[in-house]
Amino acid sequence: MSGSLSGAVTRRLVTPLVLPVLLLVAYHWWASSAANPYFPTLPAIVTASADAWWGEGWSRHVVPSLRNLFAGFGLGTLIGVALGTLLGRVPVLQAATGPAIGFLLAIPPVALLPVFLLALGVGARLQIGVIVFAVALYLTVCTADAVRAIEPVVLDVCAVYRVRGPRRWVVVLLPAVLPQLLAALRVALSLAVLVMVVSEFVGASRGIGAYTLLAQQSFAYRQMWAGMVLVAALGVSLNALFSVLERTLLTAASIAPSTGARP
Amino acid sequence: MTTALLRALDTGPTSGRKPPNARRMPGSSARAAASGIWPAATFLLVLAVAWEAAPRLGLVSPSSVPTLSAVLGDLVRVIADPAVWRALALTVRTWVFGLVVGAALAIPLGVVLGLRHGVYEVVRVPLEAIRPIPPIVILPLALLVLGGGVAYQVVLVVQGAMWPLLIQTAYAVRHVDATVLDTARSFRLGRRRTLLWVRLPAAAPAVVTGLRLAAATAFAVTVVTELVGGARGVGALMMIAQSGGDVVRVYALTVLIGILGLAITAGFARLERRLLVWQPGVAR
Repeated sequence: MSGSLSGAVTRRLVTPLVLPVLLLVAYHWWASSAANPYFPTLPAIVTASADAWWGEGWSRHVVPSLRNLFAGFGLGTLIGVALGTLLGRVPVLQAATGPAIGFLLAIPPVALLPVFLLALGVGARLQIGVIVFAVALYLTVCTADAVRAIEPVVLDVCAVYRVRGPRRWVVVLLPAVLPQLLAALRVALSLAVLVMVVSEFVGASRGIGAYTLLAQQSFAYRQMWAGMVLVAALGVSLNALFSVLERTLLTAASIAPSTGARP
Repeated sequence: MTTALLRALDTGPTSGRKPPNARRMPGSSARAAASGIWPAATFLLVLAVAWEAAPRLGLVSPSSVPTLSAVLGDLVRVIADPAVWRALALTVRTWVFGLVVGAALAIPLGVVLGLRHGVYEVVRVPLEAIRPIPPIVILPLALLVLGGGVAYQVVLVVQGAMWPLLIQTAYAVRHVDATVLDTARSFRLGRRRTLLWVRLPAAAPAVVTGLRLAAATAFAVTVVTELVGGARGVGALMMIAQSGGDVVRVYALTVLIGILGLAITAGFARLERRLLVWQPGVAR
């Protein structure tokens, strides 16, 4: 029994770490022997990261990035879920807006940056504006799909038991769309990080993306690596945090967490 | 005059909903079809009028949102411009090349990963973990090492297209219905024939879906490499127009990218239908 238990622990905890550790060791060995300035060794990257993000760098670059990210994501979610619910409940509106939304969806959100640059200028408004747009558009479509996919039987049961008004929304409709909505929110969060970084590449003097690209342009290779590592870490950790939130919410609503099924 | 026109068109959906056949079959596809084109046409017209009117009435500054007519006029000029066509061809070339190379790497690798239990277990969690990392995270490094040319673009597009497709393929090849595999075993198909005739066809829908998603990612990454790295293409034209303050041109080029994006979406939807006609609507 203890044998199978330790076997399970090995499978769950050790196996996933094999590849990353091997890659890191290989990279470190190669970087220290090649001595290529473009590819600093791991300790150099760690030191540069600590220098870059501790103290002034934190308040100057990380805080603005995160603030824009959360402001944009939050506002975009509110708009997207509200619009999506409306479109999902009113078929005429969905039919009316379909082609326009389809056209906007066909444009990669990052391709709208020049337009947003003209409209909003350089700075936090640009970052927040683009994130709001990208998140709201994506969530409008996903929420409308989820709301439309609610089983008619569920609505009939609501009618029979006279569950109406806000109670119907909280007790029946929200749990019905929750799994799909959370999956969409998770994708939207990655999208928000992507859009944030690119918008900081293009038009910002502050933020992680601006710092990273400036480091690249001024040949500060270690600082550039510190920026790339932070962006990657941000993507991974925000997603992990969201997974925890997702599972907690779904458990609280006593819904089985969504399977690994892909779109 | 515009309001009159608006009102005239605004009655479109209501008059369209009145015919008796719509009443006979409530909630049927017939009604959806009847109300299908009018609401959309009305909405697009309202949108167009609002876009044209807002800068004229001073609701938005024409230097940030030009009128629709100006944008459409410039779109005609853009489409007639050979320089734009050259840029468009470069953008499409980078996108296609990156997507094809990415797929050529990711699909075979994904099949191998899906078949080998040990390798799959080792690779699955790290691959899942890097999924939420933005595909352009290595852009500064690629720009530094490869410069702002085609190699830089292709590397970024390939890796952007590759990771999601790799996971999708491995997952699909691995998670084939057990009954189907048992059937193959009862027929003593052997490993090779099971792979060719059972596993790969069963995985095809998911792989094609993955390809569609990878195409969208690759397109976005292509545009980013042109916006940021200065690689040639439509994105670069947009940045030039933007820094030159040519507002109308920026909008026209954005519309052009939207048209290209629509063509890509439509093309892949068609491909998906064409390739999967034999699949009874079960997209895994």
